[in-house]
This record gives sequence, C-alpha cells and structure tokens, in this order.
Amino acid sequence: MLTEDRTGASTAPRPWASFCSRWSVPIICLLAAGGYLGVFAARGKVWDGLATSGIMLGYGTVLLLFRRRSEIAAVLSGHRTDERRQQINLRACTFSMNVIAVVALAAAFADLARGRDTGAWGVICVVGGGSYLAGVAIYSVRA
Amino acid sequence: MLNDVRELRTAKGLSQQGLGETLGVSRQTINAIEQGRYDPSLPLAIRLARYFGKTVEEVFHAD
Repeated sequence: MLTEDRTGASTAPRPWASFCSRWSVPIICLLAAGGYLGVFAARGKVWDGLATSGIMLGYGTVLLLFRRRSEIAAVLSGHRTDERRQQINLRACTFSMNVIAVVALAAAFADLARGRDTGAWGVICVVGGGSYLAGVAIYSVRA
Repeated sequence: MLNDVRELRTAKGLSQQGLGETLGVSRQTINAIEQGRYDPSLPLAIRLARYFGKTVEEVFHAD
C-alpha cells in the first residue's frame, strides 16, 4: 500500500524488495531442508535427513509465524525494511563474524602448534581476512 | 538522544504503531527513539520533525 507522509516521502516498500524481504528466509529454509534430506537420503541416513530437515522447516515456520509479533523473529526472517532493524542486523553480523574470526584463528594456531596443517580453519582465515580487506577497500571508495 | 517525540506523538493522539506506519518504520523503532535508545538517521529525524511541523533541533536535544 502506498502511503505518503507530510514530508512527501513515500514509505511504501518496492514490490520486489517486499517480496524478497518476506519470503527469502522461508524459501532458504525450505531449500536447506530439501538439501539436507537429499544428502542424508543419498548416504542412506533417511531418519537423520528427516530430523535435520524438520529442524530447518520448524525454524522457518517459527520465523514466519512470529515475525509480526517479535522484532527478533522479524530481523531473523529477513524483514529488515526498517533502518533500525538494518542496523541491528549489521551489528549482529559483525559480532558473529568477530566470533568466527577468533575461533578460526585459535583453531588454526592450535593445529599449527600440534604440527598439523591448518586445513579448513586456514581457508576460513584467508577468505575472511581477504574479504574484509576487499570490503574496506570497496566501501572506502563508495561510501 | 533526548527528544520530544513521545510528547508530540501523544499530543496528536497517535499510537507508536500509527506513527511508525506513517513514517515507514516499526513500532519498536518509535519506542526506541522515544526512550533515547536509538538515534534515528538524519533522513528519519527530518521526516519526524517535519511531520510534527518542527525543526530537528526543536525535536531532538543534543545536550
């Protein structure tokens, strides 16, 4: 619905953005559930597949049902048309990435100390560090 | 940041939900602004002030 406040600024979300905001996370949950079921079924572990896909479907359903009542569910379900919710999402992503960086670095150093290859932890550190450097460079120019 | 949003809103007989819908933000965002927990972006601050027929400085108080 198009609304117009006294400032003349339109507050109506664009239809495509509104659709993505509303359905992207439930669709991802549905696809992930199908993926889990398919992968586990291919390995002959149908019950494990049903359990993991059930968790994904349950998560998506809870977000879908509670996103109007709970701000947490709204942000988690991708409904971030509001500027404060976008800021909450950015801060949560930053916090999460910091935790992942600390864990990946600690695990990589632990593997090195044991005389092993850093393996997947090393890849995560390189990709994380590289993407951060690229992000700083790009947003420094664009912002 | 301290502000007069709650007073201005109640004087108009508006709910947080109503004001949020008018400005295109959530009820929780209006509540957070009123309580000083969230400082709105400049565009939203200007929209809020214009909605109440005031300047940004009259609605938001830096000191």
